[in-house]
Amino acid sequence: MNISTRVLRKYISCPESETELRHLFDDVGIEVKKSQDEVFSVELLANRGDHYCYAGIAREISGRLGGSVCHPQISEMIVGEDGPKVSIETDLCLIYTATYLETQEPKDLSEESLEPLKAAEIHSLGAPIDATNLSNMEFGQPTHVFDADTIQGTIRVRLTKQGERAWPLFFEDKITLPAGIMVISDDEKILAIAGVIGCEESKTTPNTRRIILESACFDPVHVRKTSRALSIHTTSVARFERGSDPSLPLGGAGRVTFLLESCGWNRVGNTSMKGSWENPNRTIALRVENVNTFLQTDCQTEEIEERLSRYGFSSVRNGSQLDVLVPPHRLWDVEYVSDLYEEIAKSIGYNNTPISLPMIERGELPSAEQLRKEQIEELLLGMGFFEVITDGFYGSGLLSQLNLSPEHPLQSHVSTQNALDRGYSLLKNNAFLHAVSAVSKNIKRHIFDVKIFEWTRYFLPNTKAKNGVCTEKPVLWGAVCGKERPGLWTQDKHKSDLFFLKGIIEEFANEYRLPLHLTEKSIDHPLYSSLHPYRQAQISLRGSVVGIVGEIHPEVAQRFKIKKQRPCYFEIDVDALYAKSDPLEYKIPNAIQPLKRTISFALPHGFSSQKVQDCVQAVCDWYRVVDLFPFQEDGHSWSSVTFELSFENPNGNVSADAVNTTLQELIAQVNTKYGSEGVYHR
Amino acid sequence: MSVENMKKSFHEQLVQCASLEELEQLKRDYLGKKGVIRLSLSKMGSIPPQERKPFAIALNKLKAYIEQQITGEIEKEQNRLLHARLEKEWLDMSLPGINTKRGARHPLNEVERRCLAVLRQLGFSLVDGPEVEDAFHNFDALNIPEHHPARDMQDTFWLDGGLLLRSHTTTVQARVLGSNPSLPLRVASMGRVYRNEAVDATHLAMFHQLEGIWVDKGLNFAHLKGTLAFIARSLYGDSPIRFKPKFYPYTEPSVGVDLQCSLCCGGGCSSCHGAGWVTILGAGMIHPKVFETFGFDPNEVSGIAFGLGTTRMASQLVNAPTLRPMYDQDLSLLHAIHRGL
Repeated sequence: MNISTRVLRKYISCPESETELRHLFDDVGIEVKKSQDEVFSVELLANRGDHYCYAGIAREISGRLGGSVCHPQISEMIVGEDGPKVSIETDLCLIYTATYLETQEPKDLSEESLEPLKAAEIHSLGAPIDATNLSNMEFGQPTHVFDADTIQGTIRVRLTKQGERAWPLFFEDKITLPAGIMVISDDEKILAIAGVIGCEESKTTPNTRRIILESACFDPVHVRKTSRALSIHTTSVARFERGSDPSLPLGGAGRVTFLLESCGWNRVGNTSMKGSWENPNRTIALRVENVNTFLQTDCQTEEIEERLSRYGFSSVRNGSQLDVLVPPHRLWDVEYVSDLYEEIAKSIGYNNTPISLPMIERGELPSAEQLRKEQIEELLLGMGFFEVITDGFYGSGLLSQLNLSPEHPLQSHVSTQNALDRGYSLLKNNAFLHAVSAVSKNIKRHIFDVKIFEWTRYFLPNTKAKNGVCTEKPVLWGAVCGKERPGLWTQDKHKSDLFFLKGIIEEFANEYRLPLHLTEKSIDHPLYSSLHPYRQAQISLRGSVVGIVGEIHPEVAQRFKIKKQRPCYFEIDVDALYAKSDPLEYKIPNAIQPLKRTISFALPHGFSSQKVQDCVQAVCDWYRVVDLFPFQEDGHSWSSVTFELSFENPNGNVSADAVNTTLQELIAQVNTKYGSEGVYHR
Repeated sequence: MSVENMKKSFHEQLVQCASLEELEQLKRDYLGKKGVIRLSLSKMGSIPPQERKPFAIALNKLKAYIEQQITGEIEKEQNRLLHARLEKEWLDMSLPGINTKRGARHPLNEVERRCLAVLRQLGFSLVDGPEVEDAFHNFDALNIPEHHPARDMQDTFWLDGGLLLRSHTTTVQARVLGSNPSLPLRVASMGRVYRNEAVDATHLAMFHQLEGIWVDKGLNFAHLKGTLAFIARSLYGDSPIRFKPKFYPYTEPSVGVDLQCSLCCGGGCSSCHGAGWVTILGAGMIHPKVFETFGFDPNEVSGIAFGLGTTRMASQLVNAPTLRPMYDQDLSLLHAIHRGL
């Protein structure tokens, strides 16, 4: 809303400096977004319909600074039976007034009176419409004018029936209105959609000489619903939907009449008025000591009465309390005593009331889960990962990049019903899609070395969930591609590959004493088909699958325009990462050095070394893989895996011969078990 | 051989030594068990008795002389060799380090950590809640009745079954209040929230918030201001702050906290749209209707509620002109933020 500060000064005495005035606006809760050429663009509080006019803003300033508000002149409206015929047929209209006016020679309003319109960048459309716009801006009472010569019979305020049509202003043609919409009609047609907009068939034109002036009070909720249903938003809606002042229709009509009478229009007969505004006499009991406790002030009763009166509240002393009467312009937003505390605080100034910090017996330490989360982040950061954030949803276009079959589990989503953007139509049911997308986006930006992670959650459709729709699954995911150590200028240019990711899982396991293991892939995993079929594994914890790690399927990568890189991905349930750690067992190293041996086995292509590792683990205290190289033999591919085995010797009585014998037994055992599959000792 | 000849011969051989090995050999040739000096001493018996003593004295002097000479030469050669080796081991220290370069948290995470650290000092603990919510916890319980504009279809992502994507983290507070908590209650919640809006430089369909509530007996408006001032100063230092009236359906009175613009120091600039101040916090005293909804007597208990737009704070932290890049997974941006590359 644009406010001319020059016009405002006619209503209330304000600070001379624009800067000071701007700060005053902020101080009373009216935010100035822009200030230029004595015009403030202001953002009003959503619940304060009474601020949508100069008088309302002036009243708010008066509440803060004191001083009286000067209202513009109005004509006294006399209610009588000789006005236009009006009938209210719905209780959604509280009051409806109608007044005939006519002129012989239409003239424009004076330049001075049009100043509020100019500040608001509203073009002059002739005196009758200008006057209604001015009345709204000055008093906050929306009014409307009909061309009286287009109206047939009685003006009715009623609800629409099924299939009724109207032609709202600025529309190209008639539209069908939903049933139950409050409209103003005559005996033949709809004249206006109540509180929202007028209609073409009754609009005034430059040739109009006779008008009917409407000024009313409509149900705010109904006006808002109608506005939304028809997607029509007007200044009238902005005022009515926040609750208009039910005592103001005659005053608003009086202002329009005054303006029109100043430029050659005359009333014909008296004003018709239907409906009534009976003051509900809403009072709120206010105790002065409670005000002072709430604000930590030392206000006297007189001061509180005076401050409230600035906003239009009157009060009656009732023993030790004040019975505060809510004025009609605040009927819609003042209900509780805390609303009155707010008024008093605003009057004093939010920055002038006392300030203190409550007593705090102790601070709070981070929870175990928060600590674990930070530790995991530190581990990933140390390995060069950057944290990213992705959306909670995606569109079907992105999903199609996975080329999933119609019956694939990832095809099942919770959908948004009303997303403005198709990219937000599906709640994500996996983190993989955004991960690959993020890698792809960076590669397109020529960033080929990628290490990213995210704490996120996705939504799995589940009719048995508590909410009957889905369960939310928090996960940690990471994706890598390119060089493990970007910027490395030495010869060692190891890639961030699947084993790099496996190392991270192992670090999680070691660091947090979680028995995380990689287990056999499963075609039942939703991401199975999106990962390389021979380069993936599930992550298990204490017998449950808690995640997956694998190389992105080359075809998926290709669809994301990832050509040369081989990105890898891991995902692990956050609950698993926060699981209880195994007990910490310190093992004192022996003073005597252990005996160590190395042993190599040749494994045929496709044979998991885990089987041999199990045999190795069974005969020694610990072991590690120290070498692996591929070779060709008899036209087949093989891998030679070398293990280093360690045999503890705490008492110094384990002989080299005994260890050598154990190794021979190991070789024999591997040969017996897996020799038929081609495994042999090298 | 006379002592003089031995000395002369030693000198002749010493000058011909070209390596440490040859020097060590010369040392052994003269001073070793089978060296010239030992050999000469062993032949003392063949010398006439009166000549033995002067010969022995001269031989010992020669031995000491040879030891001194050869040790000196060996040290020299060792130093030369060491220097040569070290020189050969020259490294171009202008090349960059080769360790794994540390990654970084997202600026949003950094902001959340800072906020939580401040709130912990006030005794707040973190609670989590669902993102898929029902209308009761997102609206009704928070005094946002059916006719409130925030419930418009245009603003909220509606899902099947009358559910929705939470439009604010206040839903978590509603759930906590509904769990019959003991007082005092100090909880914070943070995470993703969703608005069904047209996305532009300053509006996103998904962004992050952090909120907190403090419920106890006797909390008042002064406490609200004190708490907000503590949070603002802990996060932003001693820049001036101000309070202003705001409207939120779930608080009454509602308060906005402005921080003096650090760029113009209150004078007004393009960054603060000429206001001289930037809003950092929205807050208020918990609305009596909210208390009544969850069975609390608003005459008995009162509460402070506040919210921080962590997405906006993160973009301010890194001087990002718009919000969208914060959610763009752009490593060049994240590198630039953390490493200036």
